[in-house]
Amino acid sequence: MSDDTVDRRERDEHLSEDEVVAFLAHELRGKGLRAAERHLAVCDECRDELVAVNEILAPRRSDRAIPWRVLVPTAAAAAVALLALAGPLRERVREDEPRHRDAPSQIAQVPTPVAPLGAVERVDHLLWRTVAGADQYRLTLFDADAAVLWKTTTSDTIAALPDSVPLSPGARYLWRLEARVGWDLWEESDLVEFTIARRGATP
Amino acid sequence: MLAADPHPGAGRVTEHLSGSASGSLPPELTELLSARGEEQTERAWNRFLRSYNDLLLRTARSVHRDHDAAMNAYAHVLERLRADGFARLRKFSGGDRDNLSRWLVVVARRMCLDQLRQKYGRTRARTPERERLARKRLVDELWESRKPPDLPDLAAGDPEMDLRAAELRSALAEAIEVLEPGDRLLLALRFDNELSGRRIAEILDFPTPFHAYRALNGIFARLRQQLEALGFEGPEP
Repeated sequence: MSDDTVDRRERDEHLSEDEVVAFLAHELRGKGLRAAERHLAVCDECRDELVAVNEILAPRRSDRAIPWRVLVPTAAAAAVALLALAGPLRERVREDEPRHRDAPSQIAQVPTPVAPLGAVERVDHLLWRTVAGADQYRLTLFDADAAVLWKTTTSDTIAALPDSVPLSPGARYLWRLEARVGWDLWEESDLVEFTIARRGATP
Repeated sequence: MLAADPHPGAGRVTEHLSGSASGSLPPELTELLSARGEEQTERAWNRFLRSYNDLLLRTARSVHRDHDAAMNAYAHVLERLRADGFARLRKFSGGDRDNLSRWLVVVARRMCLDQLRQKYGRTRARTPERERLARKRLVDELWESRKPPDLPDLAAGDPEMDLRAAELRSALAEAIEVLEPGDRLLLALRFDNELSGRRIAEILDFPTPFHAYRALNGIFARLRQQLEALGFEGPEP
């Protein structure tokens, strides 16, 4: 996008056809992109156009591979993870350890979801490994469209799924954890996935 | 390059092919813009429509809920595209079929809206109530507060709470103003256009919907920090 175009954008002129096309094609860069974003953030008309055009085009797009950074372990791997926790499931934080640290830990303590993972029969609880020094965990449950189904905060390493969060057989769900390891310092797990086996199907 | 022939049946051997830096057009558009004579032009136009008719129809239907109005708009779009020896189509700056599809939808949609505005005039895109609800959703999600739907609005009729709510809105607007343009756009798509993570990811080129969600989370954290520094610890006093 030329400097002249950028100047016009600063004066809040609507996006041209080519600019809308370039934005949707992810071809805008640098100053041009920022100028378009600045305008779109405040112009309902141009933003509505962007949304409407994307919606019209959406069914025509071929299914491109979406690189999910998600761990999808096999049932065997999930079983091994559960067996590894045959001993006590919770490691208590030592009473004399400070709950809030002034400095972040040198080595990242990544929270590790344990269950549910992969195909399961039912989900009553969500379980994860303790993160040393973490005094609080935040759990977020998503559906496959990234809509948030449930969020909870707990100091434990297990959370009961409320009845108000129904899970459908065959549908895909994802969840992730954040562990508070310092003052306003949270470490985040990867997203992990599970599905509820359909009745009669073997998970 | 050859000059444009405004009258396909005139027999003049001049045609103008526009092209972008990529220097290429989809074959059905190339064929259409270089067609000579009425018969060839009609064949090329039909071939073009076979490829893009579905898109043009969907575009007309997206603007008009009423079937007759949509068909009327669709016919209007075809007429405008054909006019003056496909002058409108010759303005396509070039690219592959995907690019032409995007361009056609934008152009066709604008033609439909222009036709609508000529008839009914411009309408305001947003009502004050819709804007207020969008702000409220953002405030709620910042602090993850969920009021049961059957509780009355705590601020209703209480001057002190009304004042606080106004101060919070003002502080939030200022905090949003200093965000990066991309972050402001993300908030607008989420709370004003109420898009799903999937649609936001498509528009803003995030690899997955979850990347969009993470970006939103980061914005919430920054906004919360700024508001808490001003003494706002939640949407309620």
